[in-house]
Amino acid sequence: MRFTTLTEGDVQIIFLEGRMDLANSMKAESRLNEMLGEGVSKMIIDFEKLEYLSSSGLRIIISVDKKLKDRDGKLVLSNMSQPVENLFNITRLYDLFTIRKSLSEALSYFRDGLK
Amino acid sequence: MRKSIDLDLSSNPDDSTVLSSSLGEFLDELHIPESAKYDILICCDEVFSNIYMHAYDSRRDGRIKVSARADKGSVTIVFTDYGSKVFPAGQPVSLPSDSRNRGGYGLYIIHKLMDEVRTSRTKAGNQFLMRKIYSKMN
Repeated sequence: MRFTTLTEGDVQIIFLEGRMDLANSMKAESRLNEMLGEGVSKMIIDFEKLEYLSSSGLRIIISVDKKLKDRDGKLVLSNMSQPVENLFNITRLYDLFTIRKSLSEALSYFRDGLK
Repeated sequence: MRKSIDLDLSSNPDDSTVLSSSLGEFLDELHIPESAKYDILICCDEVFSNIYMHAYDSRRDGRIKVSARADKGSVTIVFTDYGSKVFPAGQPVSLPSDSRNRGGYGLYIIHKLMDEVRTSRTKAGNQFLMRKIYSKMN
């Protein structure tokens, strides 16, 4: 799995690519925790090139969301593929996250004042 | 085209990637629908994670055998481990109310995505069987 980042102003964008299985989830968790340790408070995780997400990956997304909320930050998810969206739906998590169809819409969420 | 594969893995989380890539190649050979392929890969990662965390208490030197077999529009995957515990196959009626904070999605997801789930504990090890029907035409 590839894990790449891009900074847009004060927003940290994470691009996940490939398969987020147990091993890759643990590696991603380590990278995400490093970023949180550096004080990131606005984050977008983009799933455009992510083939699938397992529940180990789901738990990490939930954990990052909670940590950001604890510091009055915000996580926005974008570009969900069908398998990823399906997982959020069957676990009834879809409505609990802020999800945008595209990266530009996710960035607009922050630029337009967290609407 | 292969009709079955057998994998002999360790409980090291790195082997979950060996599992997903080997099984992914096998499922591609079967030309099963993408949605069914991802359902199977997601569930296999759930089982691997459960064996690593629960049967082997997060030890990385446990042994996990995986066999996958294609038959008449379905794929059956059997996991065998030799850990101390077997996790139950009973279907959770619903997600626990506090699951958002502490996890607890694995078994729920497996029952949602697979058509048959069974576990057994024998002298030969703990077995977790899952079956996914991807075509009712064959």
